Amino acid sequence: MSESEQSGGPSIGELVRTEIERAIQRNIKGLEYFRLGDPPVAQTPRDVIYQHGTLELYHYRPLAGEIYRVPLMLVMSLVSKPYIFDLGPGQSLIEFLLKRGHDVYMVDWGVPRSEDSRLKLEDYCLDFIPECAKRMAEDSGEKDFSLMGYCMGGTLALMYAALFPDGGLKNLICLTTPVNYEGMGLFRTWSDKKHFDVDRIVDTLGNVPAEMMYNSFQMLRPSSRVFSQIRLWDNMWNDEFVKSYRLLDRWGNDQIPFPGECFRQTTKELMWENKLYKNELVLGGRLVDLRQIRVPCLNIMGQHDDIAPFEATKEINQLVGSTDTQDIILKGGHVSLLAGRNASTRMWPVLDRWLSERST
Amino acid sequence: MAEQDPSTFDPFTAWRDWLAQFERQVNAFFNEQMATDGYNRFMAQISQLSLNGQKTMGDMAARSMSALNLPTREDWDALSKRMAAVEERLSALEISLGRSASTSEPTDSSAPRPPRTRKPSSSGAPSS
Repeated sequence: MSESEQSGGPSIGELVRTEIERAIQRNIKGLEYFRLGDPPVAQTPRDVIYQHGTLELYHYRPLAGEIYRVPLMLVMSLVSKPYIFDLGPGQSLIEFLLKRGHDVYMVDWGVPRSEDSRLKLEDYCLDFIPECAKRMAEDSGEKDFSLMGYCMGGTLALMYAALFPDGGLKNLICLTTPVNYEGMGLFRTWSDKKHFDVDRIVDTLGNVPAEMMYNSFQMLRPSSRVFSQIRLWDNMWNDEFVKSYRLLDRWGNDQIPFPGECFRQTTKELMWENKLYKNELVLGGRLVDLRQIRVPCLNIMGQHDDIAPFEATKEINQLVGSTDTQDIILKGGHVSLLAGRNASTRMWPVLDRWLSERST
Repeated sequence: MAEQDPSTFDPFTAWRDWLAQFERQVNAFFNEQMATDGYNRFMAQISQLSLNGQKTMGDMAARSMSALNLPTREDWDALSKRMAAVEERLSALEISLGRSASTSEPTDSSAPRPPRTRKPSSSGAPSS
């Protein structure tokens, strides 16, 4: 009987041997890591069915022989690229949903150009999303659809759902979606109107540069860059970890500018005045009344989300007028909730179950 | 308090746990500092300086470009707006052409789609 069998765990000798093997692997694979370029992303086959400026609406080719009647449209945040939904084979939420029989469309806002600095929330909620919904209905032949927004994409989805209660929306899914901006933690502190001159930023820069957005996200966890490098080195022997790290790292560093006018509006009307939460937000002369949302609503939140904290996301289902609501709080942060190894076992099956029951 | 059994103690796991805890502590410390009024005032001043610098540089560059009879940022913006309009018309044309082509020559995107008859399985497992 070995020492480890007697004590119930590996012996010190075995632990040291494992660590030495890993150290050798780290050195071999570490060299390979620096040699390789960016990993390919967004590989699930798709077709562009609508284009307007930088906006593209994709339809993903079905991967199941029989699909649910109601298609699903994904809406990304304005500050990040949407390939977080489709990182790579085996690590793609979109691929997972397609295999589970969902018909998936996605709105990609693209990288805003300087002339896009004039875009406001009205453009997104009153023009772009409704137009994409129309194009999707034409393409799929189905008037009903489900809408899922991630982060600020969820906020846009909420606004759209409140403004178009009869627009064919059947199900609404909010992923780490801030609605109560008083709960936005450090972002709210940093954008305090006492010090933060949003007008000057937008008037001078037009779009808010990607570096500024990246730095503000990094500042939420200032030491994490260093510690993640240590963790990467520690796990360099583990191919699965490294693959996932490289994909997520690529996405994390791939920020895009925030359209200027939309940033001004978000700061003043949402962050300072908290108008969406108070049902006081007016877009294009129309009140965004969340109580108008009567479709089934799923709110998925991350327990350790520091970008859209629990305090900012937890009340969505108390604000909407739906009777079929569900709150799901999962272990994970803002990104790990949606992508990565843990997401595929925690969030994805929950989402599939909820959606499939309501997509017939 | 229960003591760790020395025969099951894994120093490498303990080191990793310590690292995660240390990271949380360091982040919490900096977050606390960054939430103070003094820090925000300081950052606002830095940002103000940086924006002033950028504005001055931008104005100077625009004046120099005009003097050299070269296009300024505004000119480029106007041009890119016109380009965007052309792109939009092109894309509309592409889509309408694609639609008419697809009637005679089927592509992957216009291939017959699966039937929309799927029902959720009771176990939630994929049925295909």
